[in-house]
Amino acid sequence: MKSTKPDWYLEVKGSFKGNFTSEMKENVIHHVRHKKKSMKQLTFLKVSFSTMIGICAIVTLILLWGGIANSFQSYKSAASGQPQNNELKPTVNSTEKNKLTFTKEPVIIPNTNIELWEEYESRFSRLSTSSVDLQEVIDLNGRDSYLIYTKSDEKGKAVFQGLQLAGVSKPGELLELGYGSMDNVEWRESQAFGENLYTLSGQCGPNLICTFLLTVEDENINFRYMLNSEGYEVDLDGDGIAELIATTDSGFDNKVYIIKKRNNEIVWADVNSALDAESGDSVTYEPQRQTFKLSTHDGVRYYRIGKGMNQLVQVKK
Amino acid sequence: MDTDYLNHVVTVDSTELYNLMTLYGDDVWGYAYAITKNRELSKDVAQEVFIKAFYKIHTFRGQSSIKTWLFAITRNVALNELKSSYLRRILLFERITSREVTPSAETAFLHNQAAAEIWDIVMKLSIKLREVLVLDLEHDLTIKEMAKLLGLSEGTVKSRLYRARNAVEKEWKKREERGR
Repeated sequence: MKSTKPDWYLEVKGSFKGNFTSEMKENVIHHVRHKKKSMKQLTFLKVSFSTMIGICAIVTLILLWGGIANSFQSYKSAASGQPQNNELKPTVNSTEKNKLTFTKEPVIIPNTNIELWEEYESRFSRLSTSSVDLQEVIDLNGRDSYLIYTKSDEKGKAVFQGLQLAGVSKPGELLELGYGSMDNVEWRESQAFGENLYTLSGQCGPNLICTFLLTVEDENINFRYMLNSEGYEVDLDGDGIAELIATTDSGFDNKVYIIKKRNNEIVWADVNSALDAESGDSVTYEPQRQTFKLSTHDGVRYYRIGKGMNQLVQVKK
Repeated sequence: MDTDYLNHVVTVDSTELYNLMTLYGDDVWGYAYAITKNRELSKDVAQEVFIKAFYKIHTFRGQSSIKTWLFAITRNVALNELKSSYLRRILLFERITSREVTPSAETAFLHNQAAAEIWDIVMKLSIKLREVLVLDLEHDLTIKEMAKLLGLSEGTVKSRLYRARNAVEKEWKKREERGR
């Protein structure tokens, strides 16, 4: 890539200005002042003695009513021979709560950590090893290698990465992945989405994992999918086809997505949204237990996809 | 206005908030528009950003520039807005209407014809290419800042920027040839 900016930038720069008007500023100021006022009123109410008495009385009544209702429920369950609500069983919500909404919304896909590579740019380009200055060669499995190099004819000495695969790359050549480099590189076969793929993953930035899902044919490697995050391969919904769980904790929010193939199309669901996670909450995926962990100021809850369902159900730790 | 002191504050008052909006309001609006392609929504997003910034200023500790921090909030708010089904309908509507022969929204309020033409091309790029190009072109963010903001590797940002510039140049040439 050219290190300098193209000439046409000069033509365009500054000609497209946003317009944050005085009215908009006043709206914002009005909003924060109004909210501050409300907060002050709330604080006053909180310290009001009579209000405190009232709140205590209401809470006591609710607790008493809850106790009576629970006793009645237990009595009813026992009387009908049904098992009482047992904590060891998953708590399946009968409502729409925690429903996973799968979408193929194209606008959002690039920002949900999955990229679909267009056909014209999907193939790794071949380079002669004599045209590069090798910086590092990492053995992947005794046969294949991951290479970090600079290009001899480039002034900027940008770092590139590529692969040498037995039976695919010819002697004296490498297959170029692109700009950048990764640490802790791993190479393995993958059955994600029921496809025959290979996964190349590694640390590609501070706290950032890159995962490339590739197809390896007789003489070529092609990009198929790319995750800007870790990608866990697992059949969560029990349909016999592995989904990908993409997790990221970079930037402001940590996010977890379930990505699957449905009717030959990639669709994804936002686990954070399904769990109603708010700013400050944390959603993580635990690969060993195949559960999603939601940590909020109220405590920690665990969820799993119900078999054959597009819904997360709460499970005991 | 020197904003370094914001690394150490817990709250800002209305005047400081007003100054922040004067300094970065246009940029925030522009970035929101680059994501949403919807002028009315960009106004709402930009206002929401400064309301959030007001309440979250204690979380800013100079880990990035104040502008990049505001952009990160902008991105979150804008993408959340895009996710709503209501907006999907709006976007769909926009796509349909943009096929009409009337000048695009960008073209209509840009005076320089060449710039208008190029912006028209930029705004038709996919969001992933458009976003890096606008951050580079209009906001002068470094590759590192963009990588942090977008949660991508620097290599991916460079690659997207390269593809975005190429796509614009290619389309620009095509239009020029057609115009001859």
